[in-house]
Amino acid sequence: MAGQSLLSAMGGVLVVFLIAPLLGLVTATSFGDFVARLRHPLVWPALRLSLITTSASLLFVVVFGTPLSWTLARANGRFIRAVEVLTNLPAVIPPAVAGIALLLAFGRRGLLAGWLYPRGWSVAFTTLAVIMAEIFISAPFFVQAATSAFRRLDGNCLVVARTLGASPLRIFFRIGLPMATPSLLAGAAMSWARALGEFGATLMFAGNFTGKTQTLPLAIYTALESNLCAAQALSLLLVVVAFAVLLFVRVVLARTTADEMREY
Amino acid sequence: MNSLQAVVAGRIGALYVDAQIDTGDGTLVIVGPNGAGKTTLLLMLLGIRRPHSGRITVGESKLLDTAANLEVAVENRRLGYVPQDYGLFPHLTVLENVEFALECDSTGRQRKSRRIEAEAILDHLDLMELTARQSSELSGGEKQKVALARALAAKPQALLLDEPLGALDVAARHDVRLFLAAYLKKLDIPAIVVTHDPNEARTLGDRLAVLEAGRIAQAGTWEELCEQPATTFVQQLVSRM
Repeated sequence: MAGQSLLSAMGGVLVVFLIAPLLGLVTATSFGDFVARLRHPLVWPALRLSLITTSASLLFVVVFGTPLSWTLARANGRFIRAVEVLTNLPAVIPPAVAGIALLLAFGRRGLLAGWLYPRGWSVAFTTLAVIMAEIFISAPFFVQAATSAFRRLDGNCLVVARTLGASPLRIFFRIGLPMATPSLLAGAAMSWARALGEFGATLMFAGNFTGKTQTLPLAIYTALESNLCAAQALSLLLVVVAFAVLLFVRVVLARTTADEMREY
Repeated sequence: MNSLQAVVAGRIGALYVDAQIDTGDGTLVIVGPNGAGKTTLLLMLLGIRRPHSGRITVGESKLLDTAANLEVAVENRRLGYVPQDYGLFPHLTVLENVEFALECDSTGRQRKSRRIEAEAILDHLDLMELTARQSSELSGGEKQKVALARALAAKPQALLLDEPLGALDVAARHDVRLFLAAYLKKLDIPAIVVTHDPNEARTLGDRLAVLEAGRIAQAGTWEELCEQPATTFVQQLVSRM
């Protein structure tokens, strides 16, 4: 009994540490101040840009990431495993490194510069660069979730579908996709949240220009130098959004688990 | 009635399967202990697992002939399959499960005509009351019937059932066995039933093939097996009845 109390107390230390900064954010601002500070001129352009770029990056990640995850989940072999590891890599490399890597690939002197720039496709330090940085950093979160969701599907359902004469595309759209939808939604939400918080890679690859590349996290960074209160309000906004995303993921996944349990 | 004939050999994991089977004019039960390769053999027939060498035919239609480099894809073999846990699509209703099979035959029929046919198939198996239910709302026996209806909707040239009573509780098993035995007798296509249970083997099959460690130890009618059991396992199998 004493042993269990010790373990709980040790766990409690971490909980306090994790909650304290969030409490600091929440208690520093009254609701009235929060709303007033959100009228700061930095806020609206950054919020608008963040919504546009994260929607675009999420769309790209889901449209191309879902077929990729399906392929990774269904295929075997060393090549496929290598592709899987490589696509997960951006999730673990530091965002600043990702920024440099993106510059070295798509920047003015990058790997693809000889192909991009003569065509007038200047990528770095544009809104497109923000979207690219967000895709690069957030895609692994979706691909990992989707791949493991597709792997968990009942193999017998897929075999039966094939014996019924279903084409690979029909199996994907009519069986695989609907069966995995809750997990895909949860993965998409986590991926979107990661894109919304993207800072390092965006700063290095896209810069920090109001209305063009200054997303919410970059606006917080900028506001910190001039107007701490606006930075606080923006931070609180991002915390609320993050909390909503987590809640959504938990509700969606809890429902799936309950459904799966009912099957047995 | 056509018969399904197969000679297949191939290694799957640690098990080497080398078997020759013939459904004859009815239902062949493949019976054997756990790990004998029964399900692997079914998956080879379906085309999910690829044998190193073999030949599979249903009547005149050739599904596999490794010597002639012929291999019909899983999607085009027209073999109805009911796995042990039935493999019902959990996001679809009973009616939609059967409609899915009709969608796949690519004759480009209208949705309405597919629905009418799906309902007719379900009605034939006394399942009309269940059309709107999801698979999670069905009993084991009901799932079995729906899976059967779905497999038959695709108009297969043979039917393959893996441990059809394996997922049922003891109370349901008796009734479903009687239903299945009667149903298979009426069926105008050859069927293969895989089981480890001697009771099921005896009631469901016209002929039996005993699979031991990947090889057919003995094949014949139940009576033939009783008269001259070829191995100790066959001896034990028939004496358990």
